[in-house]
Amino acid sequence: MNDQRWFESLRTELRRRGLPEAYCERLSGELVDHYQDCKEAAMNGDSSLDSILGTPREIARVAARQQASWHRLVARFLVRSLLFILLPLPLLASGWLGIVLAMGAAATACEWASGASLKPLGDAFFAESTTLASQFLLGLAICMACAIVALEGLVARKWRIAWPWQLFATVLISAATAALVLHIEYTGLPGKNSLSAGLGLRFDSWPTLMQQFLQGILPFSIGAWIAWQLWRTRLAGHSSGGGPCVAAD
Amino acid sequence: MTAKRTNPDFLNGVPELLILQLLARRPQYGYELVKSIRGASGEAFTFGEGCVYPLLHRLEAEGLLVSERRKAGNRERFVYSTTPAGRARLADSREVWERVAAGIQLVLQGGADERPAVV
Repeated sequence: MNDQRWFESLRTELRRRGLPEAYCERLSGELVDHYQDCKEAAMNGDSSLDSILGTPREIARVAARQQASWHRLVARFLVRSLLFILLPLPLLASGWLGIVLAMGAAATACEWASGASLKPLGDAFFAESTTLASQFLLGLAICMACAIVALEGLVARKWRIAWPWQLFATVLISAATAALVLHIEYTGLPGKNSLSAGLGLRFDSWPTLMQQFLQGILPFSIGAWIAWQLWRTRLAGHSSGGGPCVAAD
Repeated sequence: MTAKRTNPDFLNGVPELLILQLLARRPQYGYELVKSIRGASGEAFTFGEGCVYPLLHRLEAEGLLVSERRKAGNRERFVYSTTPAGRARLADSREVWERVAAGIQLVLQGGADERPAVV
Protein backbone atom coordinates (compact mmCIF):
# COMPACT_ATOMS: atom_id res chain seq x y z
CA MET A 1 0.00 0.00 0.00
CA ASN A 2 1.49 3.37 -0.93
CA ASP A 3 1.60 6.26 1.53
CA GLN A 4 -1.30 8.17 0.01
CA ARG A 5 -3.56 5.12 0.08
CA TRP A 6 -2.52 4.30 3.64
CA PHE A 7 -3.62 7.72 4.91
CA GLU A 8 -6.84 7.57 2.92
CA SER A 9 -7.53 4.17 4.41
CA LEU A 10 -6.85 5.58 7.88
CA ARG A 11 -9.30 8.46 7.36
CA THR A 12 -11.92 6.01 6.09
CA GLU A 13 -11.43 3.77 9.12
CA LEU A 14 -11.62 6.73 11.54
CA ARG A 15 -14.80 8.06 9.90
CA ARG A 16 -16.33 4.60 9.83
CA ARG A 17 -16.00 4.54 13.62
CA GLY A 18 -17.78 7.88 13.91
CA LEU A 19 -14.83 9.94 15.11
CA PRO A 20 -15.19 13.72 14.67
CA GLU A 21 -13.73 15.24 11.52
CA ALA A 22 -11.44 17.65 13.43
CA TYR A 23 -10.06 14.72 15.40
CA CYS A 24 -9.41 12.72 12.19
CA GLU A 25 -7.59 15.68 10.65
CA ARG A 26 -5.41 16.27 13.67
CA LEU A 27 -4.51 12.60 14.08
CA SER A 28 -3.70 12.27 10.38
CA GLY A 29 -1.59 15.43 10.49
CA GLU A 30 0.42 14.22 13.46
CA LEU A 31 0.93 10.82 11.85
CA VAL A 32 2.17 12.46 8.65
CA ASP A 33 4.71 14.42 10.72
CA HIS A 34 5.68 11.30 12.62
CA TYR A 35 6.23 9.30 9.44
CA GLN A 36 8.22 12.17 7.95
CA ASP A 37 10.45 12.21 11.03
CA CYS A 38 10.97 8.45 10.80
CA LYS A 39 11.97 8.67 7.17
CA GLU A 40 14.34 11.56 7.84
CA ALA A 41 15.96 9.83 10.78
CA ALA A 42 15.94 6.46 8.98
CA MET A 43 15.27 5.02 12.42
CA ASN A 44 13.56 1.96 11.04
CA GLY A 45 15.14 -0.29 8.44
CA ASP A 46 11.68 -1.35 7.37
CA SER A 47 10.02 1.94 6.59
CA SER A 48 6.55 0.82 5.51
CA LEU A 49 3.77 2.71 7.22
CA ASP A 50 2.19 -0.47 8.58
CA SER A 51 5.39 -1.55 10.28
CA ILE A 52 6.13 1.87 11.79
CA LEU A 53 2.75 3.31 12.72
CA GLY A 54 0.58 0.20 12.74
CA THR A 55 -2.23 -0.64 10.35
CA PRO A 56 -4.99 1.95 9.74
CA ARG A 57 -7.51 -0.45 11.27
CA GLU A 58 -5.37 -0.90 14.41
CA ILE A 59 -4.91 2.87 14.88
CA ALA A 60 -8.61 3.56 14.26
CA ARG A 61 -9.55 0.85 16.77
CA VAL A 62 -7.27 2.40 19.42
CA ALA A 63 -8.58 5.91 18.64
CA ALA A 64 -12.20 4.76 18.95
CA ARG A 65 -11.42 3.01 22.22
CA GLN A 66 -9.73 6.11 23.64
CA GLN A 67 -12.65 8.29 22.56
CA ALA A 68 -15.09 5.86 24.15
CA SER A 69 -12.99 5.91 27.30
CA TRP A 70 -13.16 9.71 27.32
CA HIS A 71 -16.93 9.64 26.81
CA ARG A 72 -17.29 7.18 29.69
CA LEU A 73 -15.21 9.50 31.86
CA VAL A 74 -17.44 12.46 31.00
CA ALA A 75 -20.56 10.38 31.70
CA ARG A 76 -19.11 9.26 35.04
CA PHE A 77 -18.28 12.86 35.91
CA LEU A 78 -21.83 13.97 35.13
CA VAL A 79 -23.35 11.17 37.21
CA ARG A 80 -21.04 11.98 40.14
CA SER A 81 -21.83 15.69 39.87
CA LEU A 82 -25.51 14.84 39.99
CA LEU A 83 -25.13 12.50 42.95
CA PHE A 84 -22.69 14.50 45.05
CA ILE A 85 -23.23 18.15 44.06
CA LEU A 86 -26.75 18.65 42.73
CA LEU A 87 -28.76 16.01 44.56
CA PRO A 88 -27.80 16.33 48.28
CA LEU A 89 -29.51 19.65 49.06
CA PRO A 90 -32.84 18.94 47.29
CA LEU A 91 -32.77 15.52 48.94
CA LEU A 92 -32.22 17.10 52.36
CA ALA A 93 -34.98 19.68 51.85
CA SER A 94 -37.52 17.25 50.42
CA GLY A 95 -36.69 14.56 52.99
CA TRP A 96 -37.12 16.96 55.90
CA LEU A 97 -40.29 18.46 54.48
CA GLY A 98 -41.59 14.96 53.78
CA ILE A 99 -41.10 13.93 57.41
CA VAL A 100 -42.76 17.11 58.73
CA LEU A 101 -45.72 16.61 56.40
CA ALA A 102 -45.88 12.92 57.29
CA MET A 103 -46.01 13.83 60.99
CA GLY A 104 -48.82 16.31 60.30
CA ALA A 105 -50.67 13.68 58.27
CA ALA A 106 -50.15 11.09 61.02
CA ALA A 107 -51.57 13.49 63.62
CA THR A 108 -54.60 14.16 61.41
CA ALA A 109 -55.06 10.43 60.86
CA CYS A 110 -54.86 9.84 64.62
CA GLU A 111 -57.49 12.52 65.19
CA TRP A 112 -59.70 10.98 62.53
CA ALA A 113 -59.25 7.43 63.84
CA SER A 114 -59.71 8.21 67.51
CA GLY A 115 -62.33 10.92 67.09
CA ALA A 116 -60.48 12.97 69.70
CA SER A 117 -58.91 16.31 68.91
CA LEU A 118 -55.15 16.66 69.31
CA LYS A 119 -55.45 20.45 69.36
CA PRO A 120 -54.99 20.75 73.13
CA LEU A 121 -51.79 18.73 72.81
CA GLY A 122 -50.58 20.94 69.96
CA ASP A 123 -51.55 24.06 71.87
CA ALA A 124 -49.63 22.88 74.90
CA PHE A 125 -46.56 21.95 72.84
CA PHE A 126 -46.36 25.12 70.76
CA ALA A 127 -47.76 27.59 73.24
CA GLU A 128 -45.25 26.41 75.86
CA SER A 129 -42.36 27.25 73.66
CA THR A 130 -42.11 27.68 69.92
CA THR A 131 -38.35 27.50 70.48
CA LEU A 132 -38.70 23.93 71.69
CA ALA A 133 -40.77 23.07 68.61
CA SER A 134 -38.22 24.60 66.28
CA GLN A 135 -35.43 22.74 68.13
CA PHE A 136 -37.34 19.54 67.50
CA LEU A 137 -37.70 20.31 63.81
CA LEU A 138 -34.01 21.27 63.64
CA GLY A 139 -33.17 17.95 65.27
CA LEU A 140 -35.14 16.22 62.51
CA ALA A 141 -33.16 18.15 59.90
CA ILE A 142 -29.88 17.10 61.55
CA CYS A 143 -30.98 13.45 61.56
CA MET A 144 -31.96 13.72 57.91
CA ALA A 145 -28.58 15.32 57.08
CA CYS A 146 -26.75 12.48 58.87
CA ALA A 147 -28.80 9.91 56.95
CA ILE A 148 -28.06 11.55 53.60
CA VAL A 149 -24.35 11.83 54.38
CA ALA A 150 -24.31 8.13 55.30
CA LEU A 151 -26.24 7.29 52.12
CA GLU A 152 -23.74 9.25 50.00
CA GLY A 153 -20.97 7.35 51.77
CA LEU A 154 -22.58 4.02 50.94
CA VAL A 155 -22.92 5.02 47.29
CA ALA A 156 -19.29 6.19 47.17
CA ARG A 157 -18.11 2.97 48.78
CA LYS A 158 -20.22 0.68 46.60
CA TRP A 159 -19.27 2.37 43.32
CA ARG A 160 -15.69 3.09 44.40
CA ILE A 161 -16.06 6.83 43.98
CA ALA A 162 -13.11 8.93 45.09
CA TRP A 163 -13.27 10.41 48.58
CA PRO A 164 -13.25 14.12 47.52
CA TRP A 165 -16.74 13.69 46.05
CA GLN A 166 -18.03 12.33 49.35
CA LEU A 167 -16.25 15.08 51.28
CA PHE A 168 -17.69 17.75 48.99
CA ALA A 169 -21.23 16.43 49.51
CA THR A 170 -20.57 16.31 53.27
CA VAL A 171 -19.43 19.94 53.38
CA LEU A 172 -22.44 20.97 51.33
CA ILE A 173 -24.95 19.15 53.53
CA SER A 174 -23.28 20.19 56.80
CA ALA A 175 -23.15 23.85 55.73
CA ALA A 176 -26.82 23.80 54.77
CA THR A 177 -27.75 22.13 58.06
CA ALA A 178 -25.71 24.66 60.01
CA ALA A 179 -27.28 27.55 58.15
CA LEU A 180 -30.86 26.29 58.58
CA VAL A 181 -33.00 28.78 60.51
CA LEU A 182 -36.62 28.05 61.45
CA HIS A 183 -39.31 30.39 62.61
CA ILE A 184 -42.66 29.24 63.97
CA GLU A 185 -45.66 31.41 64.54
CA TYR A 186 -48.40 29.63 66.44
CA THR A 187 -51.72 31.27 67.06
CA GLY A 188 -53.77 28.15 67.68
CA LEU A 189 -56.23 29.25 64.97
CA PRO A 190 -56.65 26.99 61.96
CA GLY A 191 -54.88 28.42 58.91
CA LYS A 192 -53.17 31.13 60.93
CA ASN A 193 -50.07 29.24 61.97
CA SER A 194 -46.86 29.37 60.00
CA LEU A 195 -43.53 27.65 59.75
CA SER A 196 -40.84 29.44 57.76
CA ALA A 197 -37.43 28.03 56.97
CA GLY A 198 -34.42 29.80 55.54
CA LEU A 199 -30.65 29.63 55.27
CA GLY A 200 -28.32 32.11 56.90
CA LEU A 201 -25.66 32.61 59.56
CA ARG A 202 -26.29 34.88 62.53
CA PHE A 203 -22.98 36.68 62.93
CA ASP A 204 -24.58 39.26 65.21
CA SER A 205 -25.13 36.75 68.00
CA TRP A 206 -22.31 34.48 69.18
CA PRO A 207 -24.53 31.98 71.04
CA THR A 208 -26.75 31.56 67.96
CA LEU A 209 -23.72 31.23 65.72
CA MET A 210 -22.29 28.60 68.06
CA GLN A 211 -25.58 26.73 67.99
CA GLN A 212 -25.54 26.83 64.19
CA PHE A 213 -22.00 25.45 64.24
CA LEU A 214 -23.20 22.60 66.46
CA GLN A 215 -26.08 21.92 64.05
CA GLY A 216 -23.60 21.13 61.30
CA ILE A 217 -20.94 19.34 63.29
CA LEU A 218 -22.66 15.94 63.56
CA PRO A 219 -23.31 15.35 59.83
CA PHE A 220 -19.87 16.75 59.09
CA SER A 221 -18.19 14.36 61.54
CA ILE A 222 -19.98 11.36 60.05
CA GLY A 223 -19.21 12.42 56.48
CA ALA A 224 -15.57 13.24 57.25
CA TRP A 225 -15.13 9.85 58.92
CA ILE A 226 -16.58 8.10 55.85
CA ALA A 227 -14.35 10.18 53.53
CA TRP A 228 -11.35 9.24 55.65
CA GLN A 229 -12.30 5.56 55.35
CA LEU A 230 -12.59 5.94 51.58
CA TRP A 231 -9.20 7.65 51.46
CA ARG A 232 -7.62 4.85 53.49
CA THR A 233 -8.98 2.14 51.23
CA ARG A 234 -8.27 3.94 47.96
CA LEU A 235 -5.06 1.98 47.23
CA ALA A 236 -6.67 -1.37 47.85
CA GLY A 237 -9.54 -0.26 45.64
CA HIS A 238 -7.15 0.66 42.85
CA SER A 239 -5.16 -2.54 42.93
CA SER A 240 -8.24 -4.72 42.78
CA GLY A 241 -10.02 -2.46 40.35
CA GLY A 242 -8.20 -3.30 37.14
CA GLY A 243 -4.99 -1.33 37.27
CA PRO A 244 -3.91 2.17 38.06
CA CYS A 245 -4.79 3.81 34.79
CA VAL A 246 -7.46 3.83 32.17
CA ALA A 247 -7.33 1.05 29.60
CA ALA A 248 -4.63 1.53 27.07
CA ASP A 249 -4.29 0.21 23.59
CA MET B 1 7.15 -7.41 7.97
CA THR B 2 5.17 -6.25 10.98
CA ALA B 3 6.95 -6.67 14.30
CA LYS B 4 5.24 -8.71 17.02
CA ARG B 5 3.43 -6.27 19.30
CA THR B 6 3.66 -6.36 23.08
CA ASN B 7 0.62 -8.05 24.61
CA PRO B 8 -1.78 -5.10 25.11
CA ASP B 9 -3.97 -6.81 27.71
CA PHE B 10 -0.99 -7.40 29.95
CA LEU B 11 0.00 -3.75 29.70
CA ASN B 12 -3.30 -2.25 30.82
CA GLY B 13 -2.52 1.28 32.04
CA VAL B 14 1.22 1.07 31.42
CA PRO B 15 1.38 3.30 28.32
CA GLU B 16 -0.37 6.08 30.22
CA LEU B 17 2.07 5.78 33.09
CA LEU B 18 5.09 5.85 30.75
CA ILE B 19 3.78 8.83 28.81
CA LEU B 20 3.04 10.86 31.93
CA GLN B 21 6.43 10.00 33.41
CA LEU B 22 8.38 10.95 30.30
CA LEU B 23 6.42 14.14 29.66
CA ALA B 24 6.80 15.17 33.30
CA ARG B 25 10.55 15.24 32.69
CA ARG B 26 10.25 17.57 29.72
CA PRO B 27 7.72 18.57 27.05
CA GLN B 28 8.01 16.48 23.88
CA TYR B 29 6.26 15.96 20.56
CA GLY B 30 4.96 12.56 19.48
CA TYR B 31 7.97 11.30 17.58
CA GLU B 32 10.34 12.38 20.35
CA LEU B 33 8.13 10.67 22.90
CA VAL B 34 8.15 7.37 21.01
CA LYS B 35 11.95 7.53 20.86
CA SER B 36 12.03 8.30 24.60
CA ILE B 37 9.82 5.29 25.37
CA ARG B 38 12.06 3.02 23.32
CA GLY B 39 15.25 4.45 24.80
CA ALA B 40 14.14 4.62 28.42
CA SER B 41 12.63 1.13 28.40
CA GLY B 42 15.57 -0.51 26.66
CA GLU B 43 13.31 -1.41 23.71
CA ALA B 44 11.12 -3.49 26.03
CA PHE B 45 7.92 -2.42 24.28
CA THR B 46 7.03 -2.97 20.66
CA PHE B 47 3.93 -1.19 19.48
CA GLY B 48 2.48 0.59 16.49
CA GLU B 49 3.85 4.09 16.98
CA GLY B 50 0.66 5.59 15.59
CA CYS B 51 -1.25 4.20 18.57
CA VAL B 52 0.51 6.68 20.88
CA TYR B 53 -1.39 9.65 19.44
CA PRO B 54 -4.96 8.60 20.34
CA LEU B 55 -3.69 8.03 23.87
CA LEU B 56 -2.09 11.49 23.94
CA HIS B 57 -5.32 13.03 22.70
CA ARG B 58 -7.37 11.30 25.38
CA LEU B 59 -4.97 12.38 28.13
CA GLU B 60 -5.19 15.91 26.78
CA ALA B 61 -9.00 15.77 26.78
CA GLU B 62 -8.88 14.62 30.40
CA GLY B 63 -6.76 17.65 31.28
CA LEU B 64 -3.71 15.60 32.21
CA LEU B 65 -1.67 16.97 29.29
CA VAL B 66 -1.66 20.18 27.30
CA SER B 67 -0.44 20.54 23.75
CA GLU B 68 0.97 23.59 22.09
CA ARG B 69 1.55 24.04 18.39
CA ARG B 70 5.09 25.31 18.09
CA LYS B 71 8.22 24.99 16.01
CA ALA B 72 10.24 21.98 17.03
CA GLY B 73 13.03 20.67 14.85
CA ASN B 74 12.42 21.82 11.30
CA ARG B 75 8.63 22.27 11.41
CA GLU B 76 5.62 23.08 13.56
CA ARG B 77 4.32 20.27 15.76
CA PHE B 78 2.08 19.59 18.71
CA VAL B 79 4.35 19.59 21.75
CA TYR B 80 2.85 17.89 24.80
CA SER B 81 3.53 18.61 28.45
CA THR B 82 1.95 17.53 31.72
CA THR B 83 -0.46 19.68 33.71
CA PRO B 84 -0.59 19.76 37.54
CA ALA B 85 -3.49 17.25 37.28
CA GLY B 86 -1.30 15.05 35.11
CA ARG B 87 1.53 15.15 37.64
CA ALA B 88 -0.91 14.30 40.42
CA ARG B 89 -2.21 11.34 38.38
CA LEU B 90 1.36 10.27 37.74
CA ALA B 91 2.18 10.30 41.47
CA ASP B 92 -0.96 8.27 42.17
CA SER B 93 -0.32 5.77 39.39
CA ARG B 94 3.33 5.36 40.38
CA GLU B 95 2.34 4.59 43.96
CA VAL B 96 -0.13 1.94 42.82
CA TRP B 97 2.26 0.53 40.23
CA GLU B 98 5.04 0.16 42.81
CA ARG B 99 2.69 -1.71 45.14
CA VAL B 100 1.52 -4.00 42.34
CA ALA B 101 5.07 -4.61 41.09
CA ALA B 102 6.29 -5.39 44.62
CA GLY B 103 3.39 -7.82 45.06
CA ILE B 104 4.12 -9.59 41.78
CA GLN B 105 7.81 -9.78 42.68
CA LEU B 106 6.91 -11.39 46.00
CA VAL B 107 4.74 -13.97 44.26
CA LEU B 108 7.41 -14.75 41.67
CA GLN B 109 10.01 -15.19 44.38
CA GLY B 110 7.80 -17.58 46.31
CA GLY B 111 6.15 -15.10 48.65
CA ALA B 112 5.90 -15.20 52.40
CA ASP B 113 4.04 -18.51 52.33
CA GLU B 114 5.61 -21.01 49.96
CA ARG B 115 3.44 -23.95 50.94
CA PRO B 116 1.36 -25.44 48.14
CA ALA B 117 -2.39 -24.71 48.31
CA VAL B 118 -3.31 -28.40 48.15
CA VAL B 119 -1.22 -31.07 49.88
